[in-house]
Amino acid sequence: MAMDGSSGGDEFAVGCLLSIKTTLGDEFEGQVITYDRPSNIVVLQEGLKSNPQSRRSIRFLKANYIKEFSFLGQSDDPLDLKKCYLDLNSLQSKEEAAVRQAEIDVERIGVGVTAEAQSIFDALSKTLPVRWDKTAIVVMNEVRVSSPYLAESVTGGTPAANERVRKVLELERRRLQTRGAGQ
Amino acid sequence: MNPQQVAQSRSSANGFTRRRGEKEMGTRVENKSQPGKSNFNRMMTAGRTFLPNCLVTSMLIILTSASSGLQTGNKVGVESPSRERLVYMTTCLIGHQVEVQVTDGSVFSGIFHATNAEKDFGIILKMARVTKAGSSRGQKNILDSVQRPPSKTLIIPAKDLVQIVAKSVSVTRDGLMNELQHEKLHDIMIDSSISQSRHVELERELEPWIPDDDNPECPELDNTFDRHWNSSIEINSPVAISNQAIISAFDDEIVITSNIIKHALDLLLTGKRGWDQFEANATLFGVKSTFNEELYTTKLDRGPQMRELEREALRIAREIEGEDTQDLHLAEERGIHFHDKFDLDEETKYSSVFRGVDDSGYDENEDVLDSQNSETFGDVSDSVINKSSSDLASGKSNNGSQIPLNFSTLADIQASHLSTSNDHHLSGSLDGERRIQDNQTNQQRARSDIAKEDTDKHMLYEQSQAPKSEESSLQPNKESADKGLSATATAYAPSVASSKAQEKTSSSEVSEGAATVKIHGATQPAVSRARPGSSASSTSECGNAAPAAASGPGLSPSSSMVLMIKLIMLEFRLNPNAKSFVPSPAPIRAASPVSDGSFYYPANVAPVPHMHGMPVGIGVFTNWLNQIFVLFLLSACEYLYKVYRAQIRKEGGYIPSTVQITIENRNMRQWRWDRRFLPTSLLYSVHKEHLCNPPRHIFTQMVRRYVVWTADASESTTTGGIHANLSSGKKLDCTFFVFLQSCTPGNANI
Repeated sequence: MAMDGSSGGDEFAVGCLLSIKTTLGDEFEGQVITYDRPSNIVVLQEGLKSNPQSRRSIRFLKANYIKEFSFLGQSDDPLDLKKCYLDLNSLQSKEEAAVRQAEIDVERIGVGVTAEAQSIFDALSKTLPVRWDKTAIVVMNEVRVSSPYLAESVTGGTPAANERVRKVLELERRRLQTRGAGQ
Repeated sequence: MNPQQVAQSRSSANGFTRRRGEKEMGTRVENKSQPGKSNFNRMMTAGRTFLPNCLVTSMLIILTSASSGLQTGNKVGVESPSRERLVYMTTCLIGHQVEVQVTDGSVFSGIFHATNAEKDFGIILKMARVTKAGSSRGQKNILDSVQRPPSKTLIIPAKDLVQIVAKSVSVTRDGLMNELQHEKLHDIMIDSSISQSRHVELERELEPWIPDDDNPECPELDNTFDRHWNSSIEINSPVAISNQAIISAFDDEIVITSNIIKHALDLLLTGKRGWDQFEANATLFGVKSTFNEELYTTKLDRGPQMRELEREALRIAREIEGEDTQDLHLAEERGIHFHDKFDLDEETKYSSVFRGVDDSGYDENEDVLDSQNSETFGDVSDSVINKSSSDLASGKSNNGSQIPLNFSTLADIQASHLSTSNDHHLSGSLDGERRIQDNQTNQQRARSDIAKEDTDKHMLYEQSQAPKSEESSLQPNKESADKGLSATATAYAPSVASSKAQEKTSSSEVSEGAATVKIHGATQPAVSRARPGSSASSTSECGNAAPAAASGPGLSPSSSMVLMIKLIMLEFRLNPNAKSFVPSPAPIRAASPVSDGSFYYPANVAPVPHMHGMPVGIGVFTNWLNQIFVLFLLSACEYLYKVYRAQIRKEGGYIPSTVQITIENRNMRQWRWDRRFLPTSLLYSVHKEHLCNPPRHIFTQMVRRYVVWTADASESTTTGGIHANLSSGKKLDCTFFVFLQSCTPGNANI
């Protein structure tokens, strides 16, 4: 592979295997896909082996944050240029889908609630329709579970629904405890 | 980044803007295939000039370079290919979840949206969230950060940018495609995401399905039977084909081996010239077929009668296939396209409810009845002939069962022990009886292939009465094969007799209902055509339908003409010494002559509105007397009908299809009974015959255990009355004598 002719760019030739430490403390190894001088960004493909997987982990790194790096070897161009192809439509749709999903996820996460509350919410959401109302979990639009999210804090709804929510809550708490204890 | 660019970058959030930009740029980019540095710069410049949207520019460049393919060997300048690569890589990131680290150590996690590829690669994230706060670390911060809702759009300037990490990015086309499909699948699967999305999905362009060209595996259905047939027989339908195949084979004196059958089947199924799947299989895989037709179907008896039977089968097949139908669905199945003139839309054809009671259907009913009558009368002589050969195996004749429907009123009511004319009750009892009879039917079913209900009706009587009536021979005798229901006549008496158990008027409605159903079925086959040789079942069905039709509400004006016969019952004498008949289990109510009122009903009393005008009432009548009487009536009625009809035929006029017989006893009490006849040629011939001879009736045998009754009715030339003798063997057991008061056409009295 031809080395880049420009000065200072030798070390970032395409296909180089490098081990890099960043100023912020990250360490990783990867294969250089490209290095753009004007922006000073080096694009790396994680992993030393240049396996032609379709999915890779890519890292864009500003070169000025590289604390140190070591040259591990030289390999082929990880990018198969013949296969490079972009479909903007699909990219757009992918982004839209991702945004959609993110929005959905956002709704699931309570604002200003503890992680415990969040985990309870997640557990309840597996089987029941739940949503956040400030810091209270609203199940089936009827039953409210407010802080501290104990069996006693379950209010509202028909007795049957209430019972059900309580049961699920207790089970989830128990599970959390065991998991927490296991950890 | 200057705010303007930021804003513009933001505006690029709308994908369409981006695209538009590209298109515009597309025309202006000159040199796509040689991304030299200068060119690149020029392009960049051009982009900048024409489009404020730097991102669009970058997109476009990527497009062009991607479409042309990055030149591998062309590394004129360091920057241009590197830059392209960078841009390409960043484009690949779009839509991915990425983690961006900034100078203070914070890590933002969000969806990669855009980058300022022209300048310094600041980036924009969507739905970004801080996953790692730079200032302090630890669980607490993570928790805190989680609590804050993600920001819709987060702009990270290039100077703050340290690194972007994206996992599982698809870089190449294959990966992209896979990812695409994957995403698509996800899109399809997640309905809620679609519904919640603010963007309206474009609908797919639907294309009509066009079948593939012919291939050996799936031959066109149309061509299936277009084959050239070795025996050059015209092919009409699968049934005919198979028949012909067999026949042709026999004609050629070829012993049908499995090979020939295979070949025939091949031609049949594939419709291709010379394609023999078995041969192909043998050659390709060395598999020898062990197909033996006789494993799967009845072994053909290749005896001397074979040819005859084949011809018969062929004829029947032709008949069946040549049948007409008014039913849309059946017609379509058979490929008959009537109503071509009419615009039948799909709804009419397939989904709407058929409400018409068209006149054509009624005609068919008449035909049906006609045929049935012919069966009845035609078989009169037959029955006599067959008397000896008849075995009581078969179960029924619908004719017989049909007729009693009409008689049933009288007999039924007479014989029934019910003191109420509660239809309901009787219907219930009928149901029960029918159930019983059903069971019996199964046991006693003989070779009759007549519709079950007929058997049922017949059996019903047997059941309740315990006499074993029937012995109508329904064997498909060769002679009477065409007649089909030779047993019809024979079954007549028992069925008639069974009228007692038979539904009464109300329950005749029940049967009506059942029979009405059959009307539709019965009207399908062209009964008039099929009569001579049609299967017994169809005839029986028709017959079954007949009475119901007759008495049903569907009486069209044409059938309102009835022949009204008025008889005066003068005498009924029972031979008390007659020991030849064993009374049925039901007790004999009246051993004495019941000339007076015991079996009469007021004709005008109709508690339940019956169109057929069957009187409903109570009466006391013994079973066997029932039988006798009905027999007599039947014979008398038919005789009269025939006479009348002959007259009409000579003179011209309308021959009513219904006979309404009113019999009046000396006390002026009347009962009325309708019977629907249909004139048929056979009937006529029989009639002629009977002009000479007194009509012999109909049942030759009633019951195994019981006496054999014959009913004779003849006209007494002297008095003008009709004398009927019912005799068993040689003894005269009872005598009716009625006087024909009038026999005129009129309108039905409903």
